[in-house]
Amino acid sequence: MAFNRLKRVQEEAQELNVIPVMNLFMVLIPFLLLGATFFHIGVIPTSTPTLSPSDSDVPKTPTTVAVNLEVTPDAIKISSSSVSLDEDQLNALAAEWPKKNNEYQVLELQKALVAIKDKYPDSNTLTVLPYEELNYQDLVKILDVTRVRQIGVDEKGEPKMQDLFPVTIFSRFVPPELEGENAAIDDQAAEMEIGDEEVTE
Amino acid sequence: MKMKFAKQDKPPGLMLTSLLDMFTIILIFLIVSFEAEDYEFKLDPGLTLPESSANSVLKPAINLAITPDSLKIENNEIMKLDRGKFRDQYYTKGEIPEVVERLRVAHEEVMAKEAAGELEGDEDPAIVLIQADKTLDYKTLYLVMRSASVAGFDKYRLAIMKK
Repeated sequence: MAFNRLKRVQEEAQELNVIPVMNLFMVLIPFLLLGATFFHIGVIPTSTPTLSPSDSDVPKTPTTVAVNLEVTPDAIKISSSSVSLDEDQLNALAAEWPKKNNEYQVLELQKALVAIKDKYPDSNTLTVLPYEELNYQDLVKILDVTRVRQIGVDEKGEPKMQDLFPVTIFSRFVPPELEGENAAIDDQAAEMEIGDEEVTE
Repeated sequence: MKMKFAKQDKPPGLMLTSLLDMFTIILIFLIVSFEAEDYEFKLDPGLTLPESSANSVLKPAINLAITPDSLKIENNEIMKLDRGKFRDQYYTKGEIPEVVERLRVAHEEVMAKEAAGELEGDEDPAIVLIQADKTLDYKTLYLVMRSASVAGFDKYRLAIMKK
């Protein structure tokens, strides 16, 4: 009888008192809840054309092309400009993809940009000229494929990205029939040159 | 017989083990998702950001929010929008004079701070962070960007929701 009581006392003494641990958790959980991020916000660095002197000291390397991306209600078109390429070479880089199933063919666009990037690796500037009613979400989808591309995964399983045209400059598409109406904007735009923005990731 | 009664007298203990397990899992989840950021970003409740795979990090800048109903600079409502569009009388020559005026003041303040050495880092401080609703059209966005450009800001960070 006495032995049984002693055994029971020993068993009770072995139970871990978890109340302090629970108290600690009750303090930590609200604190961590306040600092928890359930969604992640990022940014797309962009710019607009800026006025700069024509004798800019930006080095004009022969291997650099600036790509213009025009987004119309029915298609996306690219054209290129460069100080060192002739018209035929620039025309060879131009392309157009009409909408398919009411969607822009962004993957085709990315393939063309990859080809330009491979040919002229120092190129990094894309001037985007969307039409006025283009939905913002659609614009972001297009920018996603023009700025970077995935080239595999690293040893941690994270996607490995390669820069395509990370310097995005927005401009405004002025249809030919509205040119007179937008003359004031055009006058300024004619004097503009693309800024040499450095985009940091 | 006596011993049996003695056992029944003891109050039943509360089983905390399963509760402790649950708390441990919650705690681990919260520690993993905890991010200590020195910049507190306030997302405007009246808008939904577009989704993007862009992974550039958020940095402090002049905060500009465009919802379908209003335009705000640093959380102060500047003007109303009509279903995501600026009324014709608000803008002229591709810019919004009121926004230009407000941002010009903000630009002067930022540049004065930079001149006084109050800003950290060597990055250009003349940057606007634009949080715009994903349903807006490009014209609305461009009018704001152009106005900011006229005011002295020519670099923008478009806030997006990471996929």
